[in-house]
Amino acid sequence: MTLTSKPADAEPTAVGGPGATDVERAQKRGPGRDPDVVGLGRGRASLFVAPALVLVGVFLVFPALWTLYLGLLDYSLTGASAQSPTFIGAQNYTDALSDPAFTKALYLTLLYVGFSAVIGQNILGFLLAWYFRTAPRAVRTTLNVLVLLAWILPGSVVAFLWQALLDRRDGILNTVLQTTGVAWTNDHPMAVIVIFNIWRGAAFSMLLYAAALNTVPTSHLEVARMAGARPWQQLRDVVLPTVRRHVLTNTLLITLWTFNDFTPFLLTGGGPNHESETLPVYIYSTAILHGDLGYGSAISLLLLLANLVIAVFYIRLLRGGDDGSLKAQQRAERKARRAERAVAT
Amino acid sequence: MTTTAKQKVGWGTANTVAVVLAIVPVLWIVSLSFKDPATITDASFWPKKWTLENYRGIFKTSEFTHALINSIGIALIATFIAVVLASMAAYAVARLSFPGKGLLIGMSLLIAMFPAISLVTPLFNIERSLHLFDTWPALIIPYIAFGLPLGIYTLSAFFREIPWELEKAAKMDGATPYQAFTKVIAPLAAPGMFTTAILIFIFCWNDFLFAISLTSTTNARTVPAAIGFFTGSSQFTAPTGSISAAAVIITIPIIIFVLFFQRRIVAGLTSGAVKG
Repeated sequence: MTLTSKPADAEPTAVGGPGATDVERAQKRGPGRDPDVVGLGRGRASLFVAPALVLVGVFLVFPALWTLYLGLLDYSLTGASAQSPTFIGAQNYTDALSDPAFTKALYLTLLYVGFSAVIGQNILGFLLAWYFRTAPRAVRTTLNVLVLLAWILPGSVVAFLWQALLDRRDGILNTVLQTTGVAWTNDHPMAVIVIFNIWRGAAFSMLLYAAALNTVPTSHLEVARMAGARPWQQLRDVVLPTVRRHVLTNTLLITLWTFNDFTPFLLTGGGPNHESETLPVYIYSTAILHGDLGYGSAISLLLLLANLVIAVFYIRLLRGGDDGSLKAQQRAERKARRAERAVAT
Repeated sequence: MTTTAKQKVGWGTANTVAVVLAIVPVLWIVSLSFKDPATITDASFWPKKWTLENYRGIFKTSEFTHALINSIGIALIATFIAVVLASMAAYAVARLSFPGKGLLIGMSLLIAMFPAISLVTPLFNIERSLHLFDTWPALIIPYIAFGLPLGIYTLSAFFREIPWELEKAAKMDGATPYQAFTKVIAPLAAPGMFTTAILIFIFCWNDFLFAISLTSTTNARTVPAAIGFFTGSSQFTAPTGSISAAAVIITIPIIIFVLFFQRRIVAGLTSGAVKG
């Protein structure tokens, strides 16, 4: 659908009322797609959207803007600055950038996102979807239910489950591995939260890739197989070019989710000694636990900005693939290869 | 392609391993919840002495019952309002093309990704000045606001699939756009709305961050947050048993949802991302 309509087209004329203008407009437009196919009318459409927009505006966008403002204040929950917060300009932001705790949290967050989401969830999700693609229906359903549960169960329950698993004294993992007395969350906090997040989030990637793999035409795979392509060759030459967009969408979603994920707090509390304190956990401990609302807001805004940068980066990649030369080139190559095979057989 | 006996055995084994791996920790929690407080750390897989003491313990004080009522009430109200508002908005977005529509949908998706932690502080301030802090609306409103963008995104994918000739026919029969929406489209979109409702409900039911930040007493504290404040059935026991029991209780509805609506949930999660 193209957005060719000018706003003036949709303005109801003074005569006739909204109903008449709908019809007029439909007639004036003639054949082709009417931007307002059901005669909803601009006014009514706005009424439909308004409540949602107001709520999102007041309780999501406004707080986000307020975060920006709070970040400019010396504002705490307790003490002198609680009564009359003073305006200190960008000091919170400059403080954050030179604060070793902040840079460390940022570094840990990047590690966490990179290993658990971009690499772990992506690859595990894709492999699960790929290998279970041809599995009997019952197997697929069981697998779906199980991985969905990991993703959907309340974070506090899942974290407790993992604590029971990893506990130093009576965790099952120590019993199974016969490693008595290893305090997993204490000795390897980052490894624990990374593995935890891979386990937890692989479900979404798997489901998305399973749906994406369905869009790969079976005839292409058939042709590739007949031409003697190995499974990984089929994967590289036929499947990956087709699902490229889905890979990017999925990576964008899981990157942002993991970036903002607060669940590590439930597992390690950010400890020991800030060893697993990712940005959301750092913000929570600064703003809520220590009551330093101004500084917490400043870091929050930096987190929001990081989100925007990631989103823009991925969206550019997505756009680039559409009209860029890469995809066209791949498509041409694929076509040529297919033609060759057709001739060969 | 026919499955050979060997493949069947292979899938059977894979299936069993997957089930065992996923089920064992869950059973472990169930088992813990039935263990006697005295034997809770004995590391045996099954309770030697089965007891309902943990369950009785968490229901003995009003703390958990309150939390359960809060959880159910808040999640249901927030889900209902969010789905109604999201349907209206998504319908308008799906049926009317206007300049900047793509941008609007993109923005709503981006907003749905807002780090909740960034908004906790301002929400905390807003709610304290509106005297909403530690009440049901204190949680309901942010849940709706967070559920809306995702709901609009998923639902507009569903609405786009319904042929618009239906409304045209309804209009020719003399229906107003409002009637066309409620009488013709809404029933057809019911599966989509239902899916969206499940997703939003699960989000509300599971939320931990808002629940601990925007409440301070049992007034509005939901179960995920309340679990963090458990002290055990008596003052001197570790709360492992109580937490297990509470975890089992809060998990049951989610498991039922997933078992019954597995396909719906998958469709809802992937429709927007794959088609959009």
